Amino acid sequence: MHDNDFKTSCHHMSTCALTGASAFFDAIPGSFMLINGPLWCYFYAMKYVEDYDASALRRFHCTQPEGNALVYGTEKDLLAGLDFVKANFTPERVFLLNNCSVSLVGDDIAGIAAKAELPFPVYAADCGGIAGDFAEGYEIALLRVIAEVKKNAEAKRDLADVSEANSKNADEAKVSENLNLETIDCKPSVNLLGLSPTYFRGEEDIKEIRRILEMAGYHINAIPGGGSAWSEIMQLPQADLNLVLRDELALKAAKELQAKFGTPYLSVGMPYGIAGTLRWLDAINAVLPAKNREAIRQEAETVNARLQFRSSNMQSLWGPLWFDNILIAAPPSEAAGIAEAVRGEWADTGNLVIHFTQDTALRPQAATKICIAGKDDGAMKETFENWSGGLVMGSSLEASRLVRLKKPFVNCNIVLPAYHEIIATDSPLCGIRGAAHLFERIWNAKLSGCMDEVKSIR
Amino acid sequence: MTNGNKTEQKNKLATKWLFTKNKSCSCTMPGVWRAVSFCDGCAVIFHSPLGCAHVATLMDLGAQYRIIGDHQNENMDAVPLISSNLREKDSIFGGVEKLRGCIAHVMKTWQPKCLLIATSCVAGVIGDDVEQEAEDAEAEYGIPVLCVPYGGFLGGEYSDGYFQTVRLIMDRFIQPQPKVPGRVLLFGDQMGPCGQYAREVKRLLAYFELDVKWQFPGYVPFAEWSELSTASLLIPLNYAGQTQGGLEKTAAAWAERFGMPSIRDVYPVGWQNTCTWLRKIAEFVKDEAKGEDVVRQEEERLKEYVKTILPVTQNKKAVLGIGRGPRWYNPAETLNTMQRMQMELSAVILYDKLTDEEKDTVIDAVEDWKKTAQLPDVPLIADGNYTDCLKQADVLLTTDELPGNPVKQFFIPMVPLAGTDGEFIVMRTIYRLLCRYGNKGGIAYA
Repeated sequence: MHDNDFKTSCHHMSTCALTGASAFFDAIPGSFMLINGPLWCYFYAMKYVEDYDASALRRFHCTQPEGNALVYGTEKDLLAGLDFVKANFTPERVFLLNNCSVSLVGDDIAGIAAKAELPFPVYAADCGGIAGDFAEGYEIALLRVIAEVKKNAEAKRDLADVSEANSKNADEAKVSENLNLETIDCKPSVNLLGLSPTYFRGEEDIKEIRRILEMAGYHINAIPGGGSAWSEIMQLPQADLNLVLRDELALKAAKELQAKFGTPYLSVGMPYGIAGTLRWLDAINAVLPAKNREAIRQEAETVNARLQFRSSNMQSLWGPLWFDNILIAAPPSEAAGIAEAVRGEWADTGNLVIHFTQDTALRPQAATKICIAGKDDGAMKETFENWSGGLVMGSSLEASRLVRLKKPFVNCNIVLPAYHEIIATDSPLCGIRGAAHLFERIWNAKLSGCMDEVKSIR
Repeated sequence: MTNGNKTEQKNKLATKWLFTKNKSCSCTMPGVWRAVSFCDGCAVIFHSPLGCAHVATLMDLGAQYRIIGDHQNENMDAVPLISSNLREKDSIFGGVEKLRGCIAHVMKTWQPKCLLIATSCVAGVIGDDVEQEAEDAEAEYGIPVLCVPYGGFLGGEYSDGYFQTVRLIMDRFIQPQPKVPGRVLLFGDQMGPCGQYAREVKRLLAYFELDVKWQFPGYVPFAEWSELSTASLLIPLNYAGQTQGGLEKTAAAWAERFGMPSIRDVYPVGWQNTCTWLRKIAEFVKDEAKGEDVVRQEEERLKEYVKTILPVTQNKKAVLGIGRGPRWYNPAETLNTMQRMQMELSAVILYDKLTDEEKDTVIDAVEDWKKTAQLPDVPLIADGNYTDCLKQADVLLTTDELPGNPVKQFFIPMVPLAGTDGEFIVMRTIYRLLCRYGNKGGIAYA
């Protein structure tokens, strides 16, 4: 048994699969989430989603089964829960999510839901904590929806076959279809997989990625889990390419879409920094050429010139943007990209440590040292205990550890939980707008650190 | 992003949360963690999926930032919390091997002096013999290994996990011994030594030259557990309500077993109770005159403060909104505070989320108060028709947020505020809310 089988909560900050699945389903407008499990699990998952989506409060409910239900089944609780939804809401669909202990019971959830004779469709998924962490729950939810996409596509195909055979004007219909395709095909079309508004500045990141790709000339076909409507998600197979932004959330789904519909995919990661964003776009362009990449290059150049100018001015007053240490603690997709952007484009340091909160094969060259949660717990503990000051880019968790250890640091949140920061603006972390935002926050972290030092001396 | 969709159209409920709390609503495991979370030398394993440890960590994180927000300087570090990371395959083959490996990992990485294991609902359903594993680990590593095999929510609530851990510690590590005069042991959590309750109790006890040495459980290093019974007075940080019954019962058991006097029948929550509690302390130190003097001083502080806010609070129309059952909330304290601020209680409204049984008990409590306060005409609305009374109110004192309602709302705290300072905090928050200019929405927290 490997050490990384165990998860240390003081280093590992992923939520459970129930939360990941809830986050995915919640992002489909018109959906209601019924959690088949105790109130504790329901509340936790709902609250996590509600932090970014206030409407979640009234779109989640739970069945609250008693202990006996884990022996005799949850049918009674489930039917009562579905009745509650039916009596009080008019959802377009209900997602029924089993928590971990209930998923061990083996209830025929779909059968029970059918008994309830509901005016809306119910889609069930086993996505409790034993299925894994947030990423695994999100993945289960995405694959569950892809199964519906497949059913939908098959039903359409059957319908089209019947229609074609029966139609006297089959030729005309074909012409019309081709015309539609031509209209869509005028822009290369992509699906964005692995995005979620529940991430730190997730909604803003989704908008920025969409903006960059659209400006470059791509058509965004669907963003499942990132705000796309059910009808848009059902059109997933229409895209020319699936872009996987976070492997841990969507690589498996991209492979499934390739197997089922023949759509190729590209694992491209998240775009951080200005040079990083251009490299990211180049990678996409190499597979599916963009029609207006130049517009993005020009914008990047303009923003970069502005940042360089601002940086020079600030350096003349405050000295270089130097940190004795930089700690970046985040899931792989965020940590690797941000490490390259921070050290490669803006700040200098002699020691950049990455704490990956999930296992990964990524080994960014910008890092002096890499630790993986669960695998390198001892080394991670040392990072905190031996910390002598510098920039911490992570969550409130790292800030909490260092506060308790009375260590000096300045910080800039890049992942959740972010308890010591309010997020009210629409600035992203990724892309070109995100680069300017991160640059600004890192500089301001340095400046507030200098000011705090002076104030504490007084 | 998804506001305003069809899902919400049929909604008839007004309060923020949809659930009622008439069934088990928490989990035993975070209770186990909280009972030792700042006891240096301990480590805690959740024999669970990893998300369970994450929940406990977020609770701790929230508590820490609340303390920082209260301008307190927390000076303790939490002990390691590790999940055995139960997965689907463990439900088939059992999770015992996984737990054994996890214990070895914890021993190697953190070298704790005492290990605690809590079990999840998944471990409960699988049927792992965790107590046997704990026994084996104790023999192998030569340190105490305590086990709370309550199976997450299956074995009870948060408080069940918490108090079972306390009982295990009492049984195993603490013996009766001579007392040190003036040494006080605080019993219970209430946000720990930096929380408002413990700070206020310490301040009030200082009048009587009583010195708080420890707060147990949760905040005493493992190495000092055996000294706990040297305290000469036990002060449970309790408040009226059934959820705290465990604290009273455990405090009674502690007092009896270790021969330690304790103040258990009244708690310093709400002004009247604070006065009674101060008199009990005075009785304990055998200086009743001192007790009366302290009550006078504290009452004077309150009166002086109320004078400063009356120009704003006097005759303001207040509505009390109740959606929290009698198990968690007694409306009398809030009603007394309103009276002190000379506000006019224009109605009491009960939210739909209360069960019929809870509604009956809350109505009885409010009717009793109305009789005592001689306010028989205050309407009590339980049929959901409270739009008009809220329109006319200056402020709503409420257990639940009413989202989107323009009335100024004050959230009645879940964790009770203690002593005179607790009264100040509540009154100050209501005063500030009444001073509010413009409609800023939301709800004010004390």
